Formats: sequence, C-alpha cells, structure tokens
Amino acid sequence: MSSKATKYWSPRSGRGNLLRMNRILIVDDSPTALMWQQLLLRLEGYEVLDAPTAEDGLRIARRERPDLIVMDIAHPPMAGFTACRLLRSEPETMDIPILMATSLSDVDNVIAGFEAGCNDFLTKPLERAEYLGRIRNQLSRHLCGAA
Amino acid sequence: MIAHTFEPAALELDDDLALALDESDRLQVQLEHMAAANHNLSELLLNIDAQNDKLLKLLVAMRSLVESSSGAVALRRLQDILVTVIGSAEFLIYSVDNTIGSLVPIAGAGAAFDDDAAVSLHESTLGGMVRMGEVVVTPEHPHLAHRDDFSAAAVVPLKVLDRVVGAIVINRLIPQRKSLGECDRDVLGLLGAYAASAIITADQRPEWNQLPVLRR
Repeated sequence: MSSKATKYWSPRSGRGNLLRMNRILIVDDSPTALMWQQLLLRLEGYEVLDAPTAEDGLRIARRERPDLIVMDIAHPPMAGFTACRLLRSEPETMDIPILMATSLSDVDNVIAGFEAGCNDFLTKPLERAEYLGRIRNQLSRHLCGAA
Repeated sequence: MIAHTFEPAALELDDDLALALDESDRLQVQLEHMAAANHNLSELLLNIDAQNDKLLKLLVAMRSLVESSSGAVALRRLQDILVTVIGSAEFLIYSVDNTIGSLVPIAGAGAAFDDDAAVSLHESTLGGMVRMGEVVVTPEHPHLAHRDDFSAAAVVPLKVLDRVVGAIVINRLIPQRKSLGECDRDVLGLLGAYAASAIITADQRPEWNQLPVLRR
C-alpha cells in the first residue's frame, strides 16, 4: 500500500497545466488489477492513490479526499459495502463518487452496492474503454455538481 | 412555331437531367462503398483497441510476476492474473512430475480445485495436450473441448524454453467472459512462458541477493 500519490504528466493532461489533476483512489486487493489501473490512470493524466484493503481505503479517503474512488468488493464483499456506507455517512466523504468493481456480477451484489451508496458498477475483468469512460462520466457529473 | 424553338432546349435539359441522375446514382453507390469501408475500419480499430488492452494487461501481469519474491508468491500472482486479467472462474495449475510421469495440481480456484488427483502425462487427453507444448483454446479445437475424460476452456503449457514444466487448465470462465479468442490464445501463450520462468527464477532470489548491487 502506498498512500503517497505519484504525479505523472502525460500529453493528454498537458504539461504545465496549472489546474489540479483529478485524484482517484483505487481500493483493490489484487496486485495485478491495482497495477493495471495505476498505469492506465497515470497515462491518462490522473493522480492516483491506492489501498489494498477497504480499511486502508477509508483512512486515505478521509485524509486525502479524492475526486473519485474505485473500490473492489471481491474479498470479502461486505467490507466494500460497509466502507461505501461509511463514506456516504461522513460529511467529508459523502459527495465523492464511488465506482464499485467486481467480478461478482449477480443482481444481488449490484443491488447491495447501490443500496450502500455506490454511483456505478464496473465488471471484472476490467476493459480499458469502459473503465475510462465510466470514470470520466462520474468525474464530469461530480465536477458539474450532479453526482 | 414557338414549340419548334423550345424543343432543342428541352432535349438538352432532359440530357442534363439524365446525366445528373446518373451522377447522383454513381455518387450514391460510392457513398455506400465508403460507408461500408468506414464500418470495416471502425471494426478493425475496435479490434486493435481490444488487443492493445490485452497486451497492456499482459505487460502488467509480466511485471507483477517478475517482481515476485519467491516461487510461492509468483504462483499466487499467477492465480490473481488468471482471475483478473483472463477472467477465469475455475482453473488448476499443474506441475510436471517426471519421476511419476504425472501432472500434479499445485494451485487452483473454484470447484475444480477440489479434484486434486494427479493426471497421467502419457495416458490422458490432458497429458497429450500438455506434451504438445501448444496453447489450446477450445473454440478453435472443438474436438478437444469435451472428450470423455476431459473438458476445458483452455490448456496452457508452462514452458521454459523447449521444456514443459507444468500447465494451466482453465475449466470455466466467469459468466461475463463468453469465450476465449485468437488474441487470448497469444496472450495465454506468452503468459505461460513468462509464468514458468518467473516461478522457477523467483525461488533463486536468495542467490541473487548475494550478488553485488550496482552503484550509479
């Protein structure tokens, strides 16, 4: 786990851009999924924070207040849902959009995720176009105050 | 008299109109061809994009394997890759035991892992597939998909150079992964080669740690 964000400028983010990069927190216990998301998001010009567990994710979210959280709910599912509920119940984090990533695509999990307060779902294995599209969508809604 | 003066002009207009209609038809056909070509190019672009995505995932998977601190960690990471990158729901990882001529299960996930019996390397369908040393993705080899003694979505030999040291057998994919295609076969082939090397070399880390560190 590293809570320290690594800054990475890409042509898309615009070198010398004075606006703050959007900061995204990834919570995932899979080292491969975590590494893939970090690489992809940094190439797209986002600032990335990461956490291997829901507990670490909660702690970093409270401290860093990212613009968006991508949370894996696989191991164990309840930890992700509980973390989502906690984030929604606290004033500092209640407005942060949460994308839940899961390979558990059954309807019960999706319903439980939305009831816990997540904004959208991503199904594993994650696909680049869908992943980035949903992130951009949530960020633009959030930045426009519609989230 | 008046009609006579207008007749040639009317004929000329008819000719022009006919030419214009012909040109319009020609352009319409050209437009349809361009639309079809554009559609084909869009499909090609989407296909390339999907392949790029898989190669990026493979790159990440390789890095994850190479950074393993021991054979056991490399094996755990391979399991993680099979779930998160390939989308496997049930799989087994076998090691070749040449002393008993068998494939011995060493890791796995899903219901398939309960079936932990060794498989003969020389007298079974799986053994034959592994000895071939090629990745088998069953949509391309339907005759191998459902033999009496064996069925799987893919069989991936774990190879170090020209030697087979084990195999990955993917029994079932997660529901959202419909099937494995040609690009997946290439990705699995590379994964098999890198994973075998990573698992073996990761166990030599203690020896590497005795090597002098390069100073810049």
